[in-house]
Amino acid sequence: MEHQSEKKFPLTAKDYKLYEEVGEGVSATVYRALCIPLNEIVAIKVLDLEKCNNDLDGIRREVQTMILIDHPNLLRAHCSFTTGHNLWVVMPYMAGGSCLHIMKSAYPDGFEEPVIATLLREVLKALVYLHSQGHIHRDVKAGNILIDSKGAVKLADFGVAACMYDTGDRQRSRNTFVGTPCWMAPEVMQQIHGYDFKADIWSFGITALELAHGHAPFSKYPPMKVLLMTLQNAPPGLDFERDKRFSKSFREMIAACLVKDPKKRPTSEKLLKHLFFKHAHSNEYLARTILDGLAPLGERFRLLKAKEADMLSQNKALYEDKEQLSQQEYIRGISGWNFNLEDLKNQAALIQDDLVSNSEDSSESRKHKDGQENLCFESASHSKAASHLEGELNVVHNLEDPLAAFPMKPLRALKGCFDVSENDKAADSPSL
Amino acid sequence: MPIAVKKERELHAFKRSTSSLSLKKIVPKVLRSNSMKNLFKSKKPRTPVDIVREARGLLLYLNSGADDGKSKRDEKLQQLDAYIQEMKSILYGIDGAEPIPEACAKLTQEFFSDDIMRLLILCLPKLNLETRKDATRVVANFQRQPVQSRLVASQYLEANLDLIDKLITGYEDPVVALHYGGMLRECIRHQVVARYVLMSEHMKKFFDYIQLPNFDVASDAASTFKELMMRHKSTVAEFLEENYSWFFADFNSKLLESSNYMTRRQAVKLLGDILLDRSNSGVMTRYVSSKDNIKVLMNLMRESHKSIQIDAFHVFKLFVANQNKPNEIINVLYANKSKLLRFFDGFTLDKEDEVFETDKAQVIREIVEIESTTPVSVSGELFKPIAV
Repeated sequence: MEHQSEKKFPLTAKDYKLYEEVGEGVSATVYRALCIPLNEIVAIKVLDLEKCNNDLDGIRREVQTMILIDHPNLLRAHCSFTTGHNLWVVMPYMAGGSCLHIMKSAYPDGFEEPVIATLLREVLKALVYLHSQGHIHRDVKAGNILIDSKGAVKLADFGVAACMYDTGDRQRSRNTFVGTPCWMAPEVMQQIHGYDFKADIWSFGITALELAHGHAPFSKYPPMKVLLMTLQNAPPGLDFERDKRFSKSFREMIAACLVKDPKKRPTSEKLLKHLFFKHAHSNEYLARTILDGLAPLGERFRLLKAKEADMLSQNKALYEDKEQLSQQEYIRGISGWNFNLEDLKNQAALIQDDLVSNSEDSSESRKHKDGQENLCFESASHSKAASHLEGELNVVHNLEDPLAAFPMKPLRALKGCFDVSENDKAADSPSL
Repeated sequence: MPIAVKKERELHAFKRSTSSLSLKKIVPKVLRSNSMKNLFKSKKPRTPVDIVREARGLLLYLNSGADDGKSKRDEKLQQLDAYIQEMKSILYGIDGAEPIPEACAKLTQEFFSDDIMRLLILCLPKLNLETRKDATRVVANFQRQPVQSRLVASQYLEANLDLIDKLITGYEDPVVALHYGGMLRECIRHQVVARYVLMSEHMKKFFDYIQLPNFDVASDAASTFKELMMRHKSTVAEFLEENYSWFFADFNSKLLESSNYMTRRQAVKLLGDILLDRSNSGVMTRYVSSKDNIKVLMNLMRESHKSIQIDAFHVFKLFVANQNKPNEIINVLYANKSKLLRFFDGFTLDKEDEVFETDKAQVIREIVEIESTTPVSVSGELFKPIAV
C-alpha cells in the first residue's frame, strides 16, 4: 500500500509551478514542475481536452489506470485535475527522460548489451505485472521507457493500453488497431483474429532491436511500407555480420519475441527467465553508464526539438523522397498513425510501383510483389468501420505533400471510431 | 435384488462419481496455475464452496476490527488476496483458457448465498491495492454470471439495496471511489438497481460528484451518471417524466452553467443524447418549449470552446426544429434573429461534416422565416451581441 503515501498531492493548478518543457505529444505537453506545498519536483502532463474530440472515456481510463497502478517499473500518476480546458496529470519526474531521447542525444547507434539487458529486464517486469492484471500495453517502445536520476526504469504511456477485464466481461481478445507501426505485431495489423498479451512481446522484441541499433527496424520507411514489410518479410532480427558485438543469448531472446505466430511467442513471465536477462545489472549501473554526463533533460529536449525543426525544414526541400516520411515521424516521436484499411490497400498498390522503380534492392522488391497476392486485409466488418473514418485519414490523398501526409493525431484520439471489436460491442449490449 | 436395478444403481453411482470427478479436475487446475501466488501450501484442492467459505472467514475477521497486531492482519490479507485471485481465475479463465460454466455457476451461487458481496464491499478500504482491484473485477464479473439461466446477482441486489447506497457514497472517499464506482456501473446494468438509484435521493448527489476536483473520480461519476441516464430506456423516461422540474433545473444550473469546463462539456453532450433518444420524446418536447432552456443553450453556443459549441448546437437545433414552437421561443429567436444568422454564418467545423452542414442550413432557413408573434411585447435583446 506504499502508493497511498502520506503525501497528498494538491488538486489545483496554483499549487504547482511549471518549469521547462521536457516532452511533447500531439495533444499533450509534459513539463518539469514544482509541487509548492510538498516542495517536490514532479512532471505534469498537460493535455488539451479541446483537441481530444470524442475520446473522453479513453482519457478517463488512461488516467484511472495510471492512478491505480502500483509497480516500481510503471509510471503512475499522483493525481489528476482539470484547469480550464486542460487536464493536468501529475507524475513522478523522470530526470533521465526516455531511452529514445537518450539515444538521440548521446547513443545514436544504440546501447551496449549490458545496458540493454538491464533496461529490458525492468521493462519486462512491468509487462509481467500489467499482463497479470489483464492489461495489454500496446505501445512498448524506447520512447516510452523512462529513466529517473537514480537509474530506475519505468514504462510509461498507457494512452492506448487495453484491459482484457474491461467492463467485468472477459475479453477473449482485442481487435482495435492501435500502436505505432514499426513496433506493431503482425496480428495487430491484420485485425482479423484479434490479439492479446503476445502483441506486447512482439513490440518488446522490436524495442530490443531499437535499443541495439538506435532505431527500430523499418523505421526509415513510410508506415504503409512498414505494414507490408512486417506482414510479408521474415521477422527482423540481429544480423550475424553487422551485429557481431552482441551475444548469442541476446540474438535468441529477440528471435523468441519476433515470431509471427503469437502463440509461439513466450509469455512475459516465461521470457523473464531467459538467459539473456542474467546479464542485467542494477539501476545504479544505468545511472553510471548512460546518464553520467548527459545535459539536463530540459536542455536536451530543447536541442532535440531544434534539430528536429532543422531536419523538417531540410526535408521540405527534399520532399520528393517519400522514405523520409517515416523517419520524420520517428524523429518527432509521434506515437501513432491512423489507417483506413481501404486506403491501406490502395497504398499497398502504390508502394508496389515505388519498389520496382526506386528500390535499392530489386530482388527484395520482387519478393514483395510476389507476396502481394497473399495480403489479407479484407474483412467486411472492418472495411465498413474504415469507411466511416473517411475524412479523418488522409494518408493516401495527401501523398504528394509529405509534410501533411500523416495525421498528426495519436491513434487514441480516434480510438472510439476505430474500435471494431466484436467483443467491445458485445460488452455494450445488455447481456442480461 | 434384481440385476437390472443393481446395474442402474451402479450406473447412477458411476455418473455421480464422474460429475464430482470433473469438478475435482477443474479445481486443481486452477490451483496449479496459481501456485506462484498461493502463499500457503494446501495439499487439498479447493472447491468453489471451500474458496467462498475460507474467504468469508477472513472477511469476517477483517470486518470485526479485531486487532491482533499488524503481522497477523497482513497474513490474513495475503490469504484473502489468494482466495480472491482464485475466484478471478475461475471467473475469467486461466492463461487464455475458457472459464468453466459449472464452476462459475457454483461459485456465483455460493458468493451470493454467503453474502460475500456485502463483506467485500465493507472490507474493501482495508484491503491492499491489488486485492481491491481484483475484488472489483470479481464483483463486476459476478453481476453477469447466470445460475441456471437466472441472474442471481439481480435478485441478491434487489434484497440488498443498501449496498448500492454504500457504493454510491463511495465517490466521497478517494481511497475507494474508483473501485466502488467500477462495481456500481456493473450493478446498474440490472434494471431493478438502476430504477432504485434513479428514484432515490442519490440522483441529486451525482450533480456534485461529477464536479469533484479529482479528475479520475469526477469522470468516473460522470460515466456512471451517463450509464444511469442511457441504459434502461423505459425506466429513464419514467424517471424524467416524474422528476422533470428539479432534474432539469439542476441540470441547467449546476451542470450546463457550471464554471467547470469538463462539467459543461460532458453535460451538454449528455443532454443531447437524452433528448434525442426516442423514448424520451415527451421530455424533449417539454424541454425545447422553455425560454429558460433555450437561453442556457444559446449561451453555451457562444462559448469559445468549439467542442461545447458544437454539442450545444445539436441541442439548440431541436428548439428551432420544433414545429409547434411556443411564443416564448419564437420571441427569443425573433429578438436575436440577426445575431443568430450572423453567428451561424461564421460557425464552421474544422473538418467537413455533412450532417452538421445540413442541420445548420435547416436551422438558418427556420430562423430566417421567424416572424414576431407579439411585436409590441418583445422586450428587446435578451443577449449581448454574439461574438463571432
